[in-house]
Amino acid sequence: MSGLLRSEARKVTTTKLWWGMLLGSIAFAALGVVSQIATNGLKNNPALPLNDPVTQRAIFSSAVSGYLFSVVVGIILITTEFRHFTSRPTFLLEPRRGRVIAAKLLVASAVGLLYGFADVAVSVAITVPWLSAKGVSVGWLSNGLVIVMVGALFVIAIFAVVGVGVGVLMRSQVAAVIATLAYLFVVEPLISVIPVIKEAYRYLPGAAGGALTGVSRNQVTLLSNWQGGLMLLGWGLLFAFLGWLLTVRRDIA
Amino acid sequence: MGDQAGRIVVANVTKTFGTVRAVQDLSFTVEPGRVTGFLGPNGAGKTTTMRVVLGLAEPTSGSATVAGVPYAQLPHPGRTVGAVLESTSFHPARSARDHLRIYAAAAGVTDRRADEVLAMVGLTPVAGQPVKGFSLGMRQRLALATAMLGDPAVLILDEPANGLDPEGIVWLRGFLRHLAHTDGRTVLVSSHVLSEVEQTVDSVVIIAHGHLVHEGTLDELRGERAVGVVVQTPTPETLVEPLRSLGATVTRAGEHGLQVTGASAATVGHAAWEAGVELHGLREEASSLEQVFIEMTEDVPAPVGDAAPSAQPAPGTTA
Repeated sequence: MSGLLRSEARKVTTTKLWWGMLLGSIAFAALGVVSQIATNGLKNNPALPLNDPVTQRAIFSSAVSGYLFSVVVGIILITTEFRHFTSRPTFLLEPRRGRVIAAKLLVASAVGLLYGFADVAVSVAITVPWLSAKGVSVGWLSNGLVIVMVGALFVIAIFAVVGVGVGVLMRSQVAAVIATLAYLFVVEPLISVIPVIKEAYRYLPGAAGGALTGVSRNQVTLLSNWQGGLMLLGWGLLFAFLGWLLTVRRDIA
Repeated sequence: MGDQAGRIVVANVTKTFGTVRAVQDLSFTVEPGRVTGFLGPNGAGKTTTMRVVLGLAEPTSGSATVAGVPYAQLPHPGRTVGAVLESTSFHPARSARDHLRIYAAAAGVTDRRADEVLAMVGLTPVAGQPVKGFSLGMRQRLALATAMLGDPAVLILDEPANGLDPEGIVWLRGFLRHLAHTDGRTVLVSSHVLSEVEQTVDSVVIIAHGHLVHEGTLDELRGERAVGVVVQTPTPETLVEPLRSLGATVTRAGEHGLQVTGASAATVGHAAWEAGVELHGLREEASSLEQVFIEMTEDVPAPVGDAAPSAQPAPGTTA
């Protein structure tokens, strides 16, 4: 398994994908944080002032925007194998294909953690000097910011695992990316406003991720943060398992 | 491992895709120490059979083993079997060296081995360049290097000569023969053109429409060639009847020539002397191996599953 992990890690580091997407992730995280701070106090913005704990939590939770790139990186890491047929030498050297998927999930989670660290670090680097320039003190512990930051880190990391899961299941790179983005930005928000199935919303991947930072959409009650994290991870592993069951176990092109 | 080491055994393999039987009840054995050509026209089932042997595809029925066990049960597949499959499997942005190091890690061999196989196929000067700039021939060499990473006892190559220039084909021929004859490895190499591998292989397994049509040495195959006699004479029409009366088959070959089968050169010469026909040329000519190959693979009727309503579906098949 260690050889397999090394092989999978080398696949990540030998193309430019990981750092290109990392830059994208950081940019999104920064954009989220900047927009929260910059729009605070504007006439039509109902947000509470910058020294309010709710506002400070919202600012730090915005780093989570970088998850968009971690889920896509997860999708690409696995679907590129099918796209360029590198799945063949991979599965020839390890015919127990479930182990390959497991190694891929582990390496993707490491990449996701890196993205999470980077995104949270950027949110701190922007927020701390900006707020201190405005004379606002940051309540790391009193305002629960540390928990929000750790939550954001894990959302970003776990979404890389979800990406691998979706990629294993769908195999087509373009289809997997489009389906994932359409789901997260269109389908799930729609579900969150439909009265009857609204109750199930909190268990869905996007809402489970939202639970980690405790910032809710449409006033729906979310899971607790650790429940949300496990739920999201469960979705990722479920997709990967289904992918293994339905496609990867079978004949390889 | 005993005497199973390095032997490929295909036993009664049938592989069905929907209603199409790509391979039907195919059995053959590939021995170490020689290069075996796996021949058949395009669509005969060569690639499917190789994918079954390599565990990339499940046979509908039957089994394939390498070194005595199914591929998926090999303890160190990369160190037992190396494979080059028809369309190449590279990430275009990755360098040749990085590509090899990725699979070196998975095969459990050192990075130095990656450099060794690069040198073996002559790609050291371009080791750091991304594969997307490689010609088809360079990609075939890199695929071969990947297959050699684990120093395997068995090599399985699907159409490895594709895209190689004449120089590359000569190189490949020497390389494969060395691996089999000097190192004692098992080398199975597929092709749809016999003449392409005629000078490389010692044995042949010929299939058509998923069926085995011939298995044996190249010399045995040569023995199957039809021998004919080519006659050059200014008056060919005067020789036709005397030869036909001897039971030979005679066809015109150009203005001053005849093609005769069913009679030796001596018989034809004697008949000409008796009939007083002037001869300008008389030689025996064997048909080419390629012709033997084409005739062998042409005669086999296509077994199409859905064309025979009474046919029982193969075990494990679902429509």
